[in-house]
Amino acid sequence: MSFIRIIPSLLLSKKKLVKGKNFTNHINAGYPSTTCLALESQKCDEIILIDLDSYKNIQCPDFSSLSEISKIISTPLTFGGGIKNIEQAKKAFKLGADKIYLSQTLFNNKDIISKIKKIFGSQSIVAGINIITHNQKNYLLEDKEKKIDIFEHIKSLIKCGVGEIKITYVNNEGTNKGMNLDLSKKIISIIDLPIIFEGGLGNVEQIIDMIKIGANSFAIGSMIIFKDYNIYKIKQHLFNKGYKVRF
Amino acid sequence: MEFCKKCVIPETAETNILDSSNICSVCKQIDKKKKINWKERKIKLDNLISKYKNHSSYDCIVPFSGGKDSVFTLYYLVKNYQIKPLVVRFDHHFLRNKVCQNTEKVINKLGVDFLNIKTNFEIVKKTMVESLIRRGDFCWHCHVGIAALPIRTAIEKKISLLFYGEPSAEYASFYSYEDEEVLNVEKFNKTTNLGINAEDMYQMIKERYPKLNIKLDDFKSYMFPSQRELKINNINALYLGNYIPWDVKKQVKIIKEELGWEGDEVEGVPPEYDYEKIECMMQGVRDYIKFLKRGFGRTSHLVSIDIRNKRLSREKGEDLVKMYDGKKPHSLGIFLKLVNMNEKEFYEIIKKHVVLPHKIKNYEDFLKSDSNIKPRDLDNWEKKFF
Amino acid sequence: MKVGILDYNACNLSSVFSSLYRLGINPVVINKSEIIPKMDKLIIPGVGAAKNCIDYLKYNSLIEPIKVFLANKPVLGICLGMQIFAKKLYENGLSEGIGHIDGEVKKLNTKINFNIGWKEVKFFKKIDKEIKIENLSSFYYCHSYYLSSKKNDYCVGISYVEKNSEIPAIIFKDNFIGTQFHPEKSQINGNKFLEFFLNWKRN
Repeated sequence: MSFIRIIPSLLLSKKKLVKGKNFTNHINAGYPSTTCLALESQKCDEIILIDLDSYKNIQCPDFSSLSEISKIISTPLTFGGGIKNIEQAKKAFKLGADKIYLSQTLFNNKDIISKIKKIFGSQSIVAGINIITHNQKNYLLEDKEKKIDIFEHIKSLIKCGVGEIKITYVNNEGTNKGMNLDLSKKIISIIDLPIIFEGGLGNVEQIIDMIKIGANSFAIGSMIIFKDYNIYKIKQHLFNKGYKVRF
Repeated sequence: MEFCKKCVIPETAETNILDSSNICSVCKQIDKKKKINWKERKIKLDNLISKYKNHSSYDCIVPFSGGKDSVFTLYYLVKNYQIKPLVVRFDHHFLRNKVCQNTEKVINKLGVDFLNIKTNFEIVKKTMVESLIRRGDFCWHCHVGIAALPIRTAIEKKISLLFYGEPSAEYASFYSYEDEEVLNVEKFNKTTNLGINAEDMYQMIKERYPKLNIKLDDFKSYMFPSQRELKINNINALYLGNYIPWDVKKQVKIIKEELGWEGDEVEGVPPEYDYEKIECMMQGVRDYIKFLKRGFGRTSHLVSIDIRNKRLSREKGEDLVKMYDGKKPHSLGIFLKLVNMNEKEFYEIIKKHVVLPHKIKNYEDFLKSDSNIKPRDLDNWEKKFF
Repeated sequence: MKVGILDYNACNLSSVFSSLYRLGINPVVINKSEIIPKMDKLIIPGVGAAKNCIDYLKYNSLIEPIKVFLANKPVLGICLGMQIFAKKLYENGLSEGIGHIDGEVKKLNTKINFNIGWKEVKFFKKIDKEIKIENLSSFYYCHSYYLSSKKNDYCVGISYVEKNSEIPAIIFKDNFIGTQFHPEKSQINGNKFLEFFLNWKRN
């Protein structure tokens, strides 16, 4: 049985960390490298760092923050947000990233997966799936015409050779109202790869609800930025309830 | 909400883990204490001290507050080993009259050099607001300053050793008794700084008060040295409580008799506990916030220690808790005036930080629950700030 | 103490460098064979494909200097950096390793062919006490091939990839220490292990 993974999900903008609700209203969440150091000391299992400005195509990925962070911590680091080509991926790995996070790039450049896989291996690629719910139906955020089947999309990415899937429930982000349990259960039953879930987690009980349906990896954001929770306490609480966590 | 079957601490406590039979990890760890060979440890202490003595202008730094632990530590080192320490205190601006008096007596009687450092109060107030909002704990500047400043001073003055007092294992269970010389960045980030470093706080305050003229340099006293800096400057820490059995009541008796150290009354605590946390004007508010968030206060904490050491029955402990925990302290009025907040705003902020499964008392009860202990020096505090 | 880190385009060079830097060392990045003998200790990091790595070492005449160094001074091999010391490596075809360890590097034969994430390491011969960590402390893994050997006397720690599927976590042979896990990514446990290596002298 594997450990439950608690992974802080951090957003970078203008070289600072930010956090918001539903992709807006971002407020300052700390200085990147010192916050990551704190999270490491609290025994986070990995860290996901997404460059918001680069994701929005405002500028290139913030490699200098990545470099600064990787000099300070000894924790597995996933970097992403607007990575468009193999050169940017190579640079990220060179500066200390262990895995690359790709989401919107995968809609028009699936080839990047095999290029990264050849040099760095499948285990270094995390595919981001951003799910929005509209009129009780689920779509991919980037799919403006609402034509793509989420599961077909994921399966095709797996065929290309990604190593991990990250599901983000966009509507729930920053709301602390919990996750979509039914959809998550379906995803777990269909997908064979490790899956990280993000979007909506506000307390430990909600994490436990997800564990009960089979999830074991969680990316959390507002829960640690705006509350007194820290990773160590979250893990402690899970441990108290009998779940396997790493200290 | 579940409580430990032996002491009275509930599951919402910071570092405690209740096992399947509802015994908390601190209660379990007390048994470990009995298995330690204290004779061996004392010899180790002798050797360690001779290793550090007479190598620089001061043998060590003793981080100091004026409270029972740092006073006893200082006393023990000077009396038993003739250590020449540099006593360093981070002054958080809320030191009460009695602790200042005690400090004068102790410093004078022991004959040591004393360095007291205060940081910019305008910035302190801003950090209080920020950390209250983000973490439900306004004491960030104090947690961080007390930890970082003595170490920065050690590096600056090229003094390799910091000598602390109580072992961290008595009250919490982050670290076990077996650890020695644990001084590293991990501990600071895990237990001390609420997950916020000086650089983070600077950014957050800058955002909240865009017109304020501050620089990162203004937060230097709150910056914990890097692991590399600690390594290269060969900074080590020793905890006296890892080498001698730590008996708080016995130690308080010694410093009262030998140094004239005096206790003081504390809000929210039975009068017989006049030796614990007597230094800070804001202690009452701090403990009250803990009660609102977690459902237990300082009295629970104190009686649990006595229960574990078999000085009090659990029943009597529960009675004291009912009488003293959870009453709104007089000092809250001063606190709110300092941070420019009213009771409703304060309550709403704390409500967001409640630790499940505890439920905060409702607002009407909150307004009503006044304490009947008014500290003698409360009026002085008013004069100091306003 | 001069600690050299071999640079062969392996990706975790910067992480290993930073970890050592934080421990107070000024590591030397080595990409020329002449510098190797000047070091007191050598670290060989590793991420990437075995064949690429071995070819690079051969092409740049690094194998002999490493063997000579290994005869007298400590070497730490991490992940792929450990695997290249085996006799044969089966990734992307068959490659010949340095041969210090009598074993072969084969693909993991588990349900998911990757071992990514934290796993507990069961230490033997009280190595955990020497490293100053608790037995069953976790370390971070990220690989799909493992070192398989009939001789198990140099394996001093194992991890379970699946219930009955174990891999060597850490091996000692003469002046060589190899870890399948990444100490530079294993937080405080990894730091303690690196400190152990920095202070290690072969008995």
